[in-house]
Amino acid sequence: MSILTKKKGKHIRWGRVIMAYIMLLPGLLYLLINNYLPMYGITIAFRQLDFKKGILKSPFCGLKNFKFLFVSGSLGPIMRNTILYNLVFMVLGTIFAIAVAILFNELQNKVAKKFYQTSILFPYLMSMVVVSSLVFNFLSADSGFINNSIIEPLTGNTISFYQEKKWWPFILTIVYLWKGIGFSMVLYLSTILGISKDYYEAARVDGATKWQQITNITLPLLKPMVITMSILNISKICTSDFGLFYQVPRNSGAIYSVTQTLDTYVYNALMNQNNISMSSAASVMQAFIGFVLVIGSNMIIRRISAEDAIF
Amino acid sequence: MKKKVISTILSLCLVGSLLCGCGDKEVDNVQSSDNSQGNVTEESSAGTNEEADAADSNGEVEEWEGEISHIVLTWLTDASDNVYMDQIVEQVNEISRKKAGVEIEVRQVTVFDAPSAYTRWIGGQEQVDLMLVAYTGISPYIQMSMIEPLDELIAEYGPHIAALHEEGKPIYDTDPAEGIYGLMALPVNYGIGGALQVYTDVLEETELPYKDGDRLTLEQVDEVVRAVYALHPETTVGGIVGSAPRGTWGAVVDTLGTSIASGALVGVNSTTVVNYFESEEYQAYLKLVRGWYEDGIVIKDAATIDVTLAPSIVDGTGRCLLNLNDAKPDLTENYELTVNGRDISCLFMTEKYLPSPSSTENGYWTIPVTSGDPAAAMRFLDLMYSDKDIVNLLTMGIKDLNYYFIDEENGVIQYSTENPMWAMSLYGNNELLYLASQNYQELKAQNDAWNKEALSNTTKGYGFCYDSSAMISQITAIDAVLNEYRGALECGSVDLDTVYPEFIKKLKANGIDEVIADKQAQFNAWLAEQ
Repeated sequence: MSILTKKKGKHIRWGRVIMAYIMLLPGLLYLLINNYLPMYGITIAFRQLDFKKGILKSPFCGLKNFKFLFVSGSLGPIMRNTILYNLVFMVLGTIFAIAVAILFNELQNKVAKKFYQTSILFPYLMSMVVVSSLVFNFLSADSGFINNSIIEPLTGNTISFYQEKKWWPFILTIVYLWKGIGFSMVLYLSTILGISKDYYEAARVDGATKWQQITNITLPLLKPMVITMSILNISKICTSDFGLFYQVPRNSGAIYSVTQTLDTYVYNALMNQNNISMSSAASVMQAFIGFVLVIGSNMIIRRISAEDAIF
Repeated sequence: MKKKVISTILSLCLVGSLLCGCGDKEVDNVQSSDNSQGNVTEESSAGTNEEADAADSNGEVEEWEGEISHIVLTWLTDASDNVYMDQIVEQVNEISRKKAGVEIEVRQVTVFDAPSAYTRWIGGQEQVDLMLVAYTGISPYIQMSMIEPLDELIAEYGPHIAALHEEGKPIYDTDPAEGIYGLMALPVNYGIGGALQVYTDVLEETELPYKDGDRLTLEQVDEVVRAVYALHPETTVGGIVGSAPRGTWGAVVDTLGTSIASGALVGVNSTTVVNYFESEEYQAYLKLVRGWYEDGIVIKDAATIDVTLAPSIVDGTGRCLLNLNDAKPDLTENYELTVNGRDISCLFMTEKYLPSPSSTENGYWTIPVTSGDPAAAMRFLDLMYSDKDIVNLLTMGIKDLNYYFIDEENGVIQYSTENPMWAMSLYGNNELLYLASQNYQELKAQNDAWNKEALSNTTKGYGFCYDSSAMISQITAIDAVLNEYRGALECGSVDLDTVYPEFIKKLKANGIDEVIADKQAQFNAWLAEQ
């Protein structure tokens, strides 16, 4: 009897899901073609590429292509910049995005809501090249707004922002938040809008203040979303927004030690070389570290709260 | 039922039209090649006077009687495609079919996308027969077997190219171990000579005893710049903006066919490869510019302004009364001896000299391994170095559309309003180009004098090309260091006492000495053979 039920159950489930699987097929095919097939190219990173022989017949050369990353001591600061900026962006990006999303949720006037939402999302739609010009118009030592209208009238001197390292961790973080917050805010706002109003009503009946409602209802219910977003971000911890780190500091060499990330380093180093084995090597390294970090962070999350882990 | 029939018919139509699409291309190709062969016979029997003249002027060329080969040629643009390309290709093909039995198809690509596009095309086994590698090193292409050696092809199909080499023109890019891999796009003028350019009236105003063509020391250059600045405090030194390297204009530097990251010869008679950035000449230049920066003569944002090429002497704002530049006379653009009706004086900082050519500063024509017909590619290449019409079509465009003649006898033209100024002057032998200048006689004389001086003053490394394949990791890392420091140092934007030692230390940490030793060893071996 029990076997029969099991068989019957299985049969019914398969019948129901078959359509879903068929619908999944184009997406899977896309993933396969776009994300998995090119992976055979990973082998380029370990080969002395010879176009006459083709990729798969080129001779192996071990880790030789990775050597340029390790020749000097520059890899340390580069990895530090890449990882620390990403961590700062992750933490501040999440805090600000959630804060703004909560504020938006509290806005009652529909016109104001639309207006603010558009204006906060607008920078996200802007190209980094445009952002770079905007920032330059603010910071330029000769004609920048900050120097001309604030610093010079007050102190009589100007600051060469593009030559001085100490400002850039702040400038980059501010630009990142200003540009990116509109989009991540939308993700959190949609989750907040999905929280049942009953919880808030019940809390109000019990006499909870706005702050208590936020800390006891909104934030705990946002937790799964925050964890998912964090794991996704951690996987990209070794990659960086090329536009932000290349265009915004205008590739100024004097501030490389605080603005250069793995992507901009590889670009600057290989710009004149067109050596795809070396650029593949850098990519493989990024992907490998990202992979280890995703598995690692998911493992930690599974230990702490198993139901929030992605896999 | 009716619905089903209609939908079946519609589907069949759809599939049919798709298949037609595939078929059409083949038909077109066949047609075009049929036409092309038709053209050969037609034109060979007709042959206009003009074409016959052109053939005469380019030496006696027998008309091609064999099969016509189809080759693909890369054409570099600065941003957007050349809209006249179809017309240009048509006219080029008319000539090349007859003279070399080749018809071309052009693949346009921006100069910025070219390196990655080339890798993609060749990696994807796409047919590319003539590939212009410009402003990047050619050695990665050799190391990755992306391009064919050209020695045998030149011997068999490139008589004009070989003749140019015999004349002493720096046309070959020679890999010391493996032979010729690239042919340099021959410029109108050879060699280098760093100079400070000043409006003559401004120079006279300073009452300094210097005149056009004088050789000045760096101290004297400083004297001129400061004198001009004292009279015109609104001026700035043009040329010292943007991140393009400029620290070599004050000295004779030969990088021996590769980038300066692997060391250079300093001085015409030097045979010792040194780290140029440690040289006295470089340090003197840095001190000079730093002084200018501190006194406000160089703009504060110089290192981060988006100007990759040195601006002309007038930058539109009237601020540049001075310009630090390579002072070659320019015959290919609307460049005159005067700018805005004012004469310009060139005060030279170095002698005029000819270093070993390098593909990082020019363009090299190569034949990729995916060429369908390397022999045909070389035949067309030979035309690009010998046929005036082909070179001018590819660079200047179409007569009476993109330009018109002012003086046909002397080959002097004026660009029309239809000229988008696309030309990069990299299509073969630029000596064959028409002159686009009113003052052509004076400029031509100046140019000839320049060439004579430069060609007779070659460095000791002239003709040698360093094979950097063993040191590629180090050079890549050194390039990164150069990118980090050169812009700011050479615009005077950073403190020399702290940043310069850091720069040198980092160069050494990245193995510049090891690379220099390798370069010196190869150079010594080459010298011993000479």
